[in-house]
Amino acid sequence: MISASDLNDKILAALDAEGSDRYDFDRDIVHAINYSIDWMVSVFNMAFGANKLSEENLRELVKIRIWQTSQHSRIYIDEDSVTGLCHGVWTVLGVFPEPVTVPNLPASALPTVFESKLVQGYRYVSSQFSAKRLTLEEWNINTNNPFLAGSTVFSSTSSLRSYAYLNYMDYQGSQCSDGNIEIEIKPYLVNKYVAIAYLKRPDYVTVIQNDVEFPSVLTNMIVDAALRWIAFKQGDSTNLWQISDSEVNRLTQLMG
Amino acid sequence: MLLRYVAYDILTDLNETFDDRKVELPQVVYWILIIGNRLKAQQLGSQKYDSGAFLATYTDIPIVTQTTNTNPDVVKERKHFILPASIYDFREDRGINYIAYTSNGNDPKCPPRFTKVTFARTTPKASQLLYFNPHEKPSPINPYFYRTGNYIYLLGLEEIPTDYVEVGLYTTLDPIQTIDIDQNFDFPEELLETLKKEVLSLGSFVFAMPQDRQNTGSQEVDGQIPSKKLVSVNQQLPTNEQPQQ
Repeated sequence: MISASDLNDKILAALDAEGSDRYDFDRDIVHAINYSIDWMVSVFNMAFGANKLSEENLRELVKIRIWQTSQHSRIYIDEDSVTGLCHGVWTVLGVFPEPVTVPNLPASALPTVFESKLVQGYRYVSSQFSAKRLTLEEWNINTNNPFLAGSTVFSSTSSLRSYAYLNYMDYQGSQCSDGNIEIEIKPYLVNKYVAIAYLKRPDYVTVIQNDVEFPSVLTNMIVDAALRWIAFKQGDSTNLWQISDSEVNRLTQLMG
Repeated sequence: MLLRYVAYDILTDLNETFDDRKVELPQVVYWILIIGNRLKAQQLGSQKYDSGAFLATYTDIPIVTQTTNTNPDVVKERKHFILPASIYDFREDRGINYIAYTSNGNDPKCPPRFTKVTFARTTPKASQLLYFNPHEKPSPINPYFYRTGNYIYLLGLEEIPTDYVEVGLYTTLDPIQTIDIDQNFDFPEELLETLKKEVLSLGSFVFAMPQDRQNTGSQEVDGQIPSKKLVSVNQQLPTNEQPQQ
């Protein structure tokens, strides 16, 4: 965690504006910090795409929870504050079927066909399986191929079974309204427990007492990105822009 | 030895244990099974080999008769049983080591029942001649069997009620649909080294497929695919060694 007040101090120091009223936290700094959070999310998304994520860089945001699949082997990641996670999900890092949990109790059937749920109060212990992420095109043609993950050829008890998942999709049949976006798992798990490791989407800063949910090693990177935002407002040919831009590029390469 | 160890050893050697792997565990197991069956068949089918290490005994195999003909192989009103497992197709049906009456409740003073009467092997064509000789004629004390596909037909039991037989078989490795890699791998341990070399050679052959024939599902060019010349595992001599005159 990085405290917003610490970031505020570093940004003001870089601007040589300590004790000055030129830059106000609520008017300038908070937006710059939130911009840098968004920018970091974008940069990390590029790293995910290049398969270069080191979870350690985002350790404050990596979480694992237990869900129970619907009868169609799908999971809706509910972000609701009462029935769901209470926070947004940035990206799914791993899907682990057949987890061992504490308590380790069998799942009971869910009341409706399409319902899946977050299993609250269950702690993930272990799993022998890590579902492989497939693309939409791979999803169907791999079904009957016994040599690829997600094949439904093997029985649910076969020692050769392996799992795959398909990323978010809206399966609602309605023409106009949006449905829940769900991930799907094969071979089909009907009302079974599945552990999902994911990245929490970092919360925005609203007051100076808040924390930014990135590890402290990324402090300079966030400061640089925030300075770049401030540089926008000062005109894009200033020295501040050039310095922060080159610094950010260098750090991006280091992270990748 | 568990098949899991053999399979994961090869997967690790092929460097296919990561999330972007191209070869999954079932495929390596499949390679092991097809090569393992060939090696095991060579071993068991050898004239020098005389061991019961891989003889599988099945008891209480039900004898049935069908009321209708079904093509292929099922002939009505002929006593037969269905092979309980896939067997090696050795010459003269030697994948079947023996067939005997099922023995339940042997008198300890008598020899085991399966040693008294065993079924002799014949063929549908050759069985014609058996009935011309009273010493060879099929009967309950001199029964015969012949194989058509997975069906084993029995001659000599037509007039007695017999419900079950006991068979000793040289079975193939379990098929991939049913094999459990955490059970004992029914394979000669002294051939494991050869098996591994052969599977790695097969894997190397697969990876050496010309890149322009590969469909990786992406536009990227993967430079990690080995393209070395394949050499037979049996080739021990240096290529520049000249044969002696």
